[in-house]
Amino acid sequence: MDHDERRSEGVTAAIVDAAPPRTLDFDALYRDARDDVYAYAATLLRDRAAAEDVAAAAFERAYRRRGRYDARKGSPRAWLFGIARNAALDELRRRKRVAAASLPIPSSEPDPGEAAELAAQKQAVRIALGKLGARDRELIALKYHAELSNAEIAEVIGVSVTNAGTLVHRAMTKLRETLDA
Amino acid sequence: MPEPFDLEALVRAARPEPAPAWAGKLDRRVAERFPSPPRWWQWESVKPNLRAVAALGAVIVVIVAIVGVAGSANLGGDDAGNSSSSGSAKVPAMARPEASQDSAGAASGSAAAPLAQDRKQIQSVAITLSTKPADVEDVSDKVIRVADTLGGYIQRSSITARQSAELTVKVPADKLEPALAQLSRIAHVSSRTQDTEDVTDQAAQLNSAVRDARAYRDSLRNRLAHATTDAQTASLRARLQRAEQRLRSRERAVAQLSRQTSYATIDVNIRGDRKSGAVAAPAGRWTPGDAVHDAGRVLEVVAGVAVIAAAVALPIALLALIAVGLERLLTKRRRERALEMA
Repeated sequence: MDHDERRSEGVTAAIVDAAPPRTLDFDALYRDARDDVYAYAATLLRDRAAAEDVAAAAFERAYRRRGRYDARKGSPRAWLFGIARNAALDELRRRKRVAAASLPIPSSEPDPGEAAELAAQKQAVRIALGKLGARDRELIALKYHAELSNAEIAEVIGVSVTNAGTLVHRAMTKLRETLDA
Repeated sequence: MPEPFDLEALVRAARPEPAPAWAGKLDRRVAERFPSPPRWWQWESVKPNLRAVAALGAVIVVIVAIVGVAGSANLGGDDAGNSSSSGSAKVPAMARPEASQDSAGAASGSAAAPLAQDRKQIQSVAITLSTKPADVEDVSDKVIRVADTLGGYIQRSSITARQSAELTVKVPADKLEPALAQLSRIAHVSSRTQDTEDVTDQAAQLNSAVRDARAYRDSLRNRLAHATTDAQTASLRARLQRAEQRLRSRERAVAQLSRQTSYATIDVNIRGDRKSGAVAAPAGRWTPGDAVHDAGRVLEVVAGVAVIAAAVALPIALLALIAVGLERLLTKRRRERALEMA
């Protein structure tokens, strides 16, 4: 699925508009962010079942708390990922330990036309991601799996926008170093 | 090593995708708005048992009503008793709790009368009567007549024509309630406070001291009768004189305390500040002025209760807010720690 294309399907206009809507369009937010939330949780937790539970819990919490959403405080996606982050960190607290250091295997079979080299590279990236610390995995997941802007990442993890960009850059540098190692 | 652009593209390409089965299941849950089993307090669970809940509610309401009516009947019974025996229905309800609290129930109820007879009590009441300025002297005369009728007397009086009057009335302690009832009928009672001091122990100690002093004096007299020398006689006479002085002093204290307990003090303050209705309504009637007065009192009580509730609730709310804030802070730190440890 082309992620950028999916985000541009009419939802973005209602969510990350210059003048954000007063009320939250939960269905639009769900359609837009379902796979992103799952990807974020899966990358952070390295556990497919836990990621499914966390993503489902995050959407349920978001639905129950949709009345508390305040457009002035940030975008709906940042708000949703804040909830998802809390759910994921609660899951980490509950488990006390993480699963094996490997990312979940993709549910779908590789594209037959996909070059073997590309498949190998993707697998290498997954393995390298699994070797990173949880903070770095989280940043990369928020940036490249959930496609959040630096401002949204900053809002989710509670740092400044500049700091968020720096942290993402450092995480990518570590990932590159891990790949090169 | 991949180029920077290639690495970002690879990371995006390596994004975990959800299983279609899970996605479909979550889609259905979202479409159904995350159905959850109804809780006992929710309408869906209450609805089937609506009749039982309504019946339970009705029973509770009836019980509360019965308790409330019984309580008010008791209060009304007290009022009725006062009205029939002494016509004191005009005494405002506001004065009764104070009076009953001050007197510990000893002076204002027939049930407490035997107890009051057994105990020595100094009773004092302050009552304010409101009347028209022109009726101040008339009301003062009526107060004096009440004292006379009940075997009491006026200890002090100060009357300013057409303005106010202050009288200190002494009535036999057992006539205090009739006296108050009669005074309440003379004019509108704008305030009434009652105070009772229990001096039973003090009276017992004084009586004991009198007995001891008397016994000592008698023994000195006996020894004086058997004195053989002049020196002994002189010494015993001096001691006997001191003993008799001590005995008289203690007997005076007993007599003073007895007067205090046998007569109750009523400080009557008559104010000529009432425009109309100077004479109290007949027993049992409730005038518009009383209604306004009672309404004001009710508002005072409500405001007092609100202030007390606020005084209790605000610190609790503040503590709760602090606790919630601390809990959130701790939770945030634990989450961050969990992220560090992962």
